Amino acid sequence: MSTSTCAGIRERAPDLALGALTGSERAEVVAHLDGCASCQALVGEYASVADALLDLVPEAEPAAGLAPPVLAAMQPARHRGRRHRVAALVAAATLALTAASGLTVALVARDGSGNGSTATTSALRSAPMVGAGDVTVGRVVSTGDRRPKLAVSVDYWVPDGRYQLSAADGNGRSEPVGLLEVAGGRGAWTGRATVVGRPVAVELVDQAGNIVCRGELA
Amino acid sequence: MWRLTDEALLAGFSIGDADAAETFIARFQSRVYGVALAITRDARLAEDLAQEAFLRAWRHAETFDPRRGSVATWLIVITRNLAVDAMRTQPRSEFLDPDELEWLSPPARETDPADATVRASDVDWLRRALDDVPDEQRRAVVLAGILGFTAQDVAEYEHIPLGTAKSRIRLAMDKLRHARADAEPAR
Repeated sequence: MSTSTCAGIRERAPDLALGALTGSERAEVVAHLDGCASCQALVGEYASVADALLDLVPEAEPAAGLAPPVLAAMQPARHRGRRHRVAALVAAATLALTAASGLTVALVARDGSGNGSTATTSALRSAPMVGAGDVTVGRVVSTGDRRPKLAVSVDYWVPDGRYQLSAADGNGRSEPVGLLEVAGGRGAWTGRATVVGRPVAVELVDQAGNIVCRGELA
Repeated sequence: MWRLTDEALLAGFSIGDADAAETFIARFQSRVYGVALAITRDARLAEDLAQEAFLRAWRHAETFDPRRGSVATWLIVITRNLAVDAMRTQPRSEFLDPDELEWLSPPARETDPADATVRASDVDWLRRALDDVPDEQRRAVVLAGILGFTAQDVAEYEHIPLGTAKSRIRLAMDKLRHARADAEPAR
């Protein structure tokens, strides 16, 4: 059903507030909200309920304080700030150039050390899967340091069909890791890379060999 | 003694001020870690996620908009989303079951004032309202609102049609919205 009417929005407002809409559904509802104050107010009421739900979760103390590791992770990034910004600009320019020329997207470490900009000791890494026009179409998550487990999901913009997933590390190695099937605008895949030790990029490639979207794991 | 506002602390944290960062983390770490732990049920992963949540807050502090909610809510949502992403790599059986969540239960009518906290009293209305919601609707809204399930996820997890999952979420949210409005004068 169309959600472009206030009645349609009212029906989906609870899902929007809870973050339970898919990307395309969310985009449609948000487009309506931009010009409708009454629907905005209603969504605001549901959002307050959604926020309160998270307030129910009990507090817990971590075994060790979180400040030392967080501050340590912030420190090197603060020192290399200028170099990082330059590297990020180079990375962005490289991606734009390769995307425009239709060449295979080059692997670009996000800083000179190849460690990425996350600057964290966490083994968990996640990044948006980004398609043409910088549209976020899904998400990639990696857990674990050695042979990390990967989870890729798409829920917006990617046409239905079967896609090859490839993972690449920062040393120029890449490998196909699996097939992701998109049906009804949604698809998900989980598995591991076997050749690539620590993937820094995951790409969804269509049957013609075009990169449909890409996630860069910091 | 002076207590800096959450917004002021976030501002200091965002520019890398060590004192502000330590205070900010100390103020919120139990809530951030609590959310990560509740969703993942893995202490080590929850610590990683909590650290990552603070780093994201530091990096993306400029995205905080006080008109949309409090610093705490913004930070908790960052944490929830990270934890939900992390759980995408886990089989559904690893997710907690909403029926196991004792902290969803309504508070006893006679509580010890010494145990009461401002935050707890702020959401007592919600616990009571959830207690009045039919079980299947409560499960659906908890799966969506706390564990980050989409309606499709709820449908698969509960083995019900998508339309039914959406109805349960909407019905529960409607009841909770009205309960919030009713409780407003008392809060």
